[in-house]
Amino acid sequence: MAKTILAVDDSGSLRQMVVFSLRAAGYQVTEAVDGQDGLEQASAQVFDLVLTDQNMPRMDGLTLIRSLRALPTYQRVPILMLTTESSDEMKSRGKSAGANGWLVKPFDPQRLIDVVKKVIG
Amino acid sequence: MQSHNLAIELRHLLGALSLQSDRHLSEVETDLQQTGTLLSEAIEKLGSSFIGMHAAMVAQQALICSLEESMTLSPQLKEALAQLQADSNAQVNAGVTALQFHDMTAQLLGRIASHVASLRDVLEGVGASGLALAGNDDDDCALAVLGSANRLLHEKSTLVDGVAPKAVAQTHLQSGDVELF
Repeated sequence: MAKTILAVDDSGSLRQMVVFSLRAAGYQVTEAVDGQDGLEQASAQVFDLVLTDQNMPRMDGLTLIRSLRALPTYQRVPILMLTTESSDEMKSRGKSAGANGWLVKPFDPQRLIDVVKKVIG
Repeated sequence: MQSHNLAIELRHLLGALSLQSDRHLSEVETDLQQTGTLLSEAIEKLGSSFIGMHAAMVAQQALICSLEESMTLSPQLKEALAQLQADSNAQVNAGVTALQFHDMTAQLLGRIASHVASLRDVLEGVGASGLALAGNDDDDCALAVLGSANRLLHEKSTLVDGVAPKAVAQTHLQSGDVELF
Protein backbone atom coordinates (compact mmCIF):
# COMPACT_ATOMS: atom_id res chain seq x y z
CA MET A 1 0.00 0.00 0.00
CA ALA A 2 1.35 3.41 -0.98
CA LYS A 3 2.66 5.68 1.77
CA THR A 4 0.54 8.77 2.29
CA ILE A 5 1.89 12.33 2.27
CA LEU A 6 0.12 15.57 3.14
CA ALA A 7 1.55 18.48 1.12
CA VAL A 8 0.69 21.85 2.65
CA ASP A 9 1.41 25.00 0.63
CA ASP A 10 -0.59 28.08 -0.33
CA SER A 11 1.01 28.15 -3.77
CA GLY A 12 -0.97 26.05 -6.21
CA SER A 13 1.92 25.79 -8.66
CA LEU A 14 4.29 24.62 -5.93
CA ARG A 15 1.79 21.98 -4.77
CA GLN A 16 1.41 20.89 -8.38
CA MET A 17 5.16 20.23 -8.63
CA VAL A 18 5.28 18.44 -5.26
CA VAL A 19 2.36 16.22 -6.22
CA PHE A 20 3.85 15.57 -9.66
CA SER A 21 7.20 14.55 -8.20
CA LEU A 22 5.98 12.41 -5.33
CA ARG A 23 3.17 10.65 -7.21
CA ALA A 24 5.68 9.67 -9.91
CA ALA A 25 7.69 8.02 -7.13
CA GLY A 26 4.66 6.02 -6.00
CA TYR A 27 3.42 8.07 -3.06
CA GLN A 28 -0.20 8.98 -2.43
CA VAL A 29 -0.29 12.74 -1.99
CA THR A 30 -3.07 14.87 -0.52
CA GLU A 31 -2.99 18.66 -0.84
CA ALA A 32 -3.81 21.33 1.72
CA VAL A 33 -3.94 25.03 0.81
CA ASP A 34 -2.66 26.45 4.12
CA GLY A 35 -1.81 25.47 7.68
CA GLN A 36 -5.42 25.51 8.86
CA ASP A 37 -6.53 23.28 6.00
CA GLY A 38 -3.53 21.04 6.70
CA LEU A 39 -4.45 20.70 10.36
CA GLU A 40 -8.05 19.84 9.50
CA GLN A 41 -7.01 17.20 6.96
CA ALA A 42 -4.39 15.76 9.28
CA SER A 43 -6.94 15.53 12.06
CA ALA A 44 -9.27 13.53 9.82
CA GLN A 45 -6.60 11.13 8.55
CA VAL A 46 -3.17 10.16 9.85
CA PHE A 47 -0.60 10.60 7.09
CA ASP A 48 2.79 8.89 6.95
CA LEU A 49 4.52 12.22 6.31
CA VAL A 50 3.65 15.91 6.37
CA LEU A 51 5.48 18.29 4.06
CA THR A 52 4.71 21.91 4.83
CA ASP A 53 5.53 25.43 3.72
CA GLN A 54 6.20 28.14 6.32
CA ASN A 55 4.61 31.40 5.13
CA MET A 56 0.92 30.79 4.53
CA PRO A 57 -2.32 32.66 5.27
CA ARG A 58 -4.51 31.65 8.26
CA MET A 59 -1.86 29.37 9.79
CA ASP A 60 1.87 29.23 9.13
CA GLY A 61 4.01 26.12 8.98
CA LEU A 62 5.56 26.41 12.44
CA THR A 63 2.12 26.80 14.04
CA LEU A 64 0.90 23.79 12.07
CA ILE A 65 3.81 21.69 13.29
CA ARG A 66 3.21 22.68 16.93
CA SER A 67 -0.50 21.92 16.53
CA LEU A 68 0.23 18.54 14.97
CA ARG A 69 2.77 17.63 17.64
CA ALA A 70 0.09 18.33 20.24
CA LEU A 71 -2.04 15.56 18.70
CA PRO A 72 -1.27 12.07 20.05
CA THR A 73 -1.45 10.65 16.51
CA TYR A 74 1.25 12.99 15.17
CA GLN A 75 3.90 12.77 17.83
CA ARG A 76 5.99 10.35 15.77
CA VAL A 77 4.91 11.25 12.24
CA PRO A 78 7.79 12.83 10.30
CA ILE A 79 7.23 16.46 9.36
CA LEU A 80 9.44 18.23 6.82
CA MET A 81 9.48 21.95 6.10
CA LEU A 82 9.66 22.95 2.43
CA THR A 83 10.07 26.71 2.33
CA THR A 84 11.89 29.64 0.79
CA GLU A 85 13.14 30.51 4.28
CA SER A 86 16.77 29.50 4.66
CA SER A 87 18.08 31.29 7.75
CA ASP A 88 19.63 29.33 10.60
CA GLU A 89 17.26 31.08 12.98
CA MET A 90 14.19 29.81 11.13
CA LYS A 91 15.65 26.31 10.89
CA SER A 92 16.28 26.37 14.62
CA ARG A 93 12.70 27.46 15.25
CA GLY A 94 11.49 24.67 13.00
CA LYS A 95 13.54 22.10 14.85
CA SER A 96 12.22 23.36 18.19
CA ALA A 97 8.65 23.21 16.89
CA GLY A 98 9.13 19.55 16.01
CA ALA A 99 10.19 19.49 12.36
CA ASN A 100 12.34 16.54 11.30
CA GLY A 101 13.97 18.27 8.38
CA TRP A 102 14.27 21.46 6.36
CA LEU A 103 14.23 21.73 2.58
CA VAL A 104 14.85 25.09 0.94
CA LYS A 105 12.87 25.94 -2.21
CA PRO A 106 13.17 25.51 -5.06
CA PHE A 107 13.49 21.75 -4.61
CA ASP A 108 15.09 19.28 -6.94
CA PRO A 109 12.53 16.47 -7.43
CA GLN A 110 15.07 13.67 -7.14
CA ARG A 111 16.49 15.11 -3.93
CA LEU A 112 12.98 15.50 -2.54
CA ILE A 113 12.19 11.87 -3.37
CA ASP A 114 15.51 10.74 -1.84
CA VAL A 115 14.75 12.58 1.40
CA VAL A 116 11.18 11.26 1.58
CA LYS A 117 12.43 7.71 0.93
CA LYS A 118 15.01 8.11 3.65
CA VAL A 119 12.38 9.32 6.12
CA ILE A 120 9.41 7.02 5.41
CA GLY A 121 10.75 4.47 2.97
CA MET B 1 5.36 89.02 2.70
CA GLN B 2 8.13 86.46 3.06
CA SER B 3 6.16 84.51 5.69
CA HIS B 4 3.13 84.54 3.46
CA ASN B 5 5.16 83.12 0.56
CA LEU B 6 6.84 80.51 2.72
CA ALA B 7 3.52 79.15 3.94
CA ILE B 8 2.09 79.04 0.42
CA GLU B 9 5.21 77.44 -1.06
CA LEU B 10 5.33 74.87 1.72
CA ARG B 11 1.67 74.03 1.28
CA HIS B 12 2.17 73.63 -2.46
CA LEU B 13 5.33 71.56 -2.01
CA LEU B 14 3.78 69.09 0.43
CA GLY B 15 0.56 68.86 -1.55
CA ALA B 16 2.34 68.30 -4.87
CA LEU B 17 4.71 65.77 -3.31
CA SER B 18 1.77 63.81 -1.98
CA LEU B 19 -0.29 64.05 -5.17
CA GLN B 20 2.50 63.17 -7.60
CA SER B 21 3.74 60.33 -5.40
CA ASP B 22 0.21 58.99 -5.24
CA ARG B 23 -0.02 58.98 -9.02
CA HIS B 24 3.33 57.18 -9.35
CA LEU B 25 2.36 54.66 -6.69
CA SER B 26 -0.98 54.02 -8.36
CA GLU B 27 0.88 53.20 -11.58
CA VAL B 28 3.24 50.91 -9.66
CA GLU B 29 0.30 49.14 -8.00
CA THR B 30 -1.48 48.68 -11.33
CA ASP B 31 1.66 47.28 -12.95
CA LEU B 32 2.31 44.98 -9.99
CA GLN B 33 -1.22 43.64 -10.19
CA GLN B 34 -0.91 43.13 -13.95
CA THR B 35 2.47 41.41 -13.50
CA GLY B 36 0.99 39.14 -10.86
CA THR B 37 -1.94 38.25 -13.11
CA LEU B 38 0.31 37.52 -16.09
CA LEU B 39 2.66 35.39 -13.98
CA SER B 40 -0.28 33.45 -12.51
CA GLU B 41 -1.69 32.75 -15.94
CA ALA B 42 1.74 31.83 -17.26
CA ILE B 43 2.48 29.36 -14.49
CA GLU B 44 -0.95 27.77 -14.85
CA LYS B 45 -0.41 27.19 -18.56
CA LEU B 46 3.22 26.16 -18.18
CA GLY B 47 2.32 23.71 -15.41
CA SER B 48 -0.48 22.12 -17.43
CA SER B 49 1.69 21.91 -20.57
CA PHE B 50 4.60 20.47 -18.61
CA ILE B 51 2.48 17.74 -17.04
CA GLY B 52 0.84 17.02 -20.40
CA MET B 53 4.23 16.75 -22.12
CA HIS B 54 5.50 14.48 -19.37
CA ALA B 55 2.48 12.19 -19.71
CA ALA B 56 3.10 11.98 -23.47
CA MET B 57 6.77 11.29 -22.84
CA VAL B 58 5.96 8.47 -20.41
CA ALA B 59 3.54 6.94 -22.92
CA GLN B 60 6.16 7.23 -25.65
CA GLN B 61 8.73 5.56 -23.42
CA ALA B 62 6.34 2.70 -22.67
CA LEU B 63 5.82 2.27 -26.41
CA ILE B 64 9.57 2.20 -27.01
CA CYS B 65 9.97 -0.42 -24.26
CA SER B 66 7.35 -2.66 -25.85
CA LEU B 67 9.02 -2.22 -29.26
CA GLU B 68 12.34 -3.16 -27.71
CA GLU B 69 10.81 -6.39 -26.44
CA SER B 70 9.38 -7.35 -29.82
CA MET B 71 12.43 -6.62 -31.96
CA THR B 72 16.14 -7.00 -31.83
CA LEU B 73 18.02 -3.75 -31.38
CA SER B 74 21.71 -3.22 -31.77
CA PRO B 75 23.62 -2.46 -28.53
CA GLN B 76 24.40 1.02 -29.91
CA LEU B 77 20.72 1.75 -30.48
CA LYS B 78 19.81 0.46 -27.02
CA GLU B 79 22.48 2.67 -25.50
CA ALA B 80 21.27 5.67 -27.47
CA LEU B 81 17.68 5.09 -26.31
CA ALA B 82 18.82 4.76 -22.70
CA GLN B 83 20.81 8.00 -23.02
CA LEU B 84 17.78 9.79 -24.47
CA GLN B 85 15.69 8.55 -21.57
CA ALA B 86 18.27 9.77 -19.05
CA ASP B 87 18.46 13.16 -20.79
CA SER B 88 14.67 13.46 -20.75
CA ASN B 89 14.53 12.66 -17.04
CA ALA B 90 17.20 15.28 -16.31
CA GLN B 91 15.23 17.87 -18.28
CA VAL B 92 12.04 16.99 -16.40
CA ASN B 93 13.82 17.43 -13.08
CA ALA B 94 15.24 20.78 -14.20
CA GLY B 95 11.75 21.81 -15.34
CA VAL B 96 10.21 20.96 -11.96
CA THR B 97 12.81 23.11 -10.20
CA ALA B 98 12.37 26.02 -12.61
CA LEU B 99 8.56 25.92 -12.46
CA GLN B 100 8.74 26.82 -8.79
CA PHE B 101 9.56 30.42 -9.77
CA HIS B 102 5.97 31.53 -9.25
CA ASP B 103 5.93 30.70 -5.55
CA MET B 104 8.93 32.97 -5.00
CA THR B 105 7.95 35.79 -7.35
CA ALA B 106 4.43 35.88 -5.86
CA GLN B 107 5.91 36.31 -2.38
CA LEU B 108 8.20 39.08 -3.62
CA LEU B 109 5.35 40.87 -5.43
CA GLY B 110 3.22 40.68 -2.30
CA ARG B 111 6.02 42.20 -0.27
CA ILE B 112 6.55 45.00 -2.81
CA ALA B 113 2.81 45.76 -2.69
CA SER B 114 2.98 46.01 1.12
CA HIS B 115 5.88 48.47 0.92
CA VAL B 116 4.04 50.54 -1.69
CA ALA B 117 0.98 50.68 0.57
CA SER B 118 3.17 51.80 3.49
CA LEU B 119 4.85 54.47 1.38
CA ARG B 120 1.45 55.73 0.20
CA ASP B 121 0.39 56.03 3.84
CA VAL B 122 3.51 58.05 4.68
CA LEU B 123 3.09 60.42 1.76
CA GLU B 124 -0.61 60.93 2.41
CA GLY B 125 0.32 62.00 5.93
CA VAL B 126 2.89 64.47 4.62
CA GLY B 127 0.32 65.90 2.21
CA ALA B 128 -2.23 66.25 4.99
CA SER B 129 0.34 68.22 7.04
CA GLY B 130 0.58 70.78 4.25
CA LEU B 131 -3.19 71.21 4.12
CA ALA B 132 -3.07 72.55 7.68
CA LEU B 133 -1.35 75.69 6.37
CA ALA B 134 -3.35 78.73 5.27
CA GLY B 135 -2.06 81.33 2.82
CA ASN B 136 -1.75 84.02 5.49
CA ASP B 137 0.13 81.85 8.02
CA ASP B 138 3.45 83.18 9.29
CA ASP B 139 6.88 81.53 9.59
CA ASP B 140 6.06 80.02 12.98
CA CYS B 141 3.07 78.23 11.55
CA ALA B 142 5.15 77.03 8.58
CA LEU B 143 7.86 75.76 10.93
CA ALA B 144 5.24 74.04 13.07
CA VAL B 145 3.90 72.24 10.00
CA LEU B 146 7.43 71.20 8.98
CA GLY B 147 8.02 69.91 12.51
CA SER B 148 4.76 67.99 12.37
CA ALA B 149 5.70 66.47 9.01
CA ASN B 150 9.10 65.48 10.34
CA ARG B 151 7.55 63.84 13.41
CA LEU B 152 5.15 61.98 11.16
CA LEU B 153 8.01 60.72 8.98
CA HIS B 154 9.87 59.59 12.07
CA GLU B 155 6.80 57.75 13.40
CA LYS B 156 6.08 56.12 10.06
CA SER B 157 9.69 54.98 9.66
CA THR B 158 8.73 51.92 11.70
CA LEU B 159 6.33 50.93 8.90
CA VAL B 160 9.31 49.70 6.89
CA ASP B 161 10.00 47.16 9.60
CA GLY B 162 6.27 46.44 9.93
CA VAL B 163 6.15 44.83 6.49
CA ALA B 164 6.73 41.08 6.67
CA PRO B 165 10.45 40.22 6.79
CA LYS B 166 11.96 39.08 3.54
CA ALA B 167 11.38 35.35 3.21
CA VAL B 168 12.86 34.93 -0.25
CA ALA B 169 16.63 35.34 -0.38
CA GLN B 170 17.02 33.28 -3.54
CA THR B 171 18.43 35.13 -6.53
CA HIS B 172 18.67 32.09 -8.82
CA LEU B 173 16.49 29.06 -9.46
CA GLN B 174 19.02 26.60 -8.13
CA SER B 175 17.70 23.88 -5.88
CA GLY B 176 18.06 24.70 -2.18
CA ASP B 177 19.74 22.96 0.73
CA VAL B 178 18.34 19.92 2.46
CA GLU B 179 18.91 19.31 6.15
CA LEU B 180 17.53 16.49 8.27
CA PHE B 181 17.41 17.10 12.03
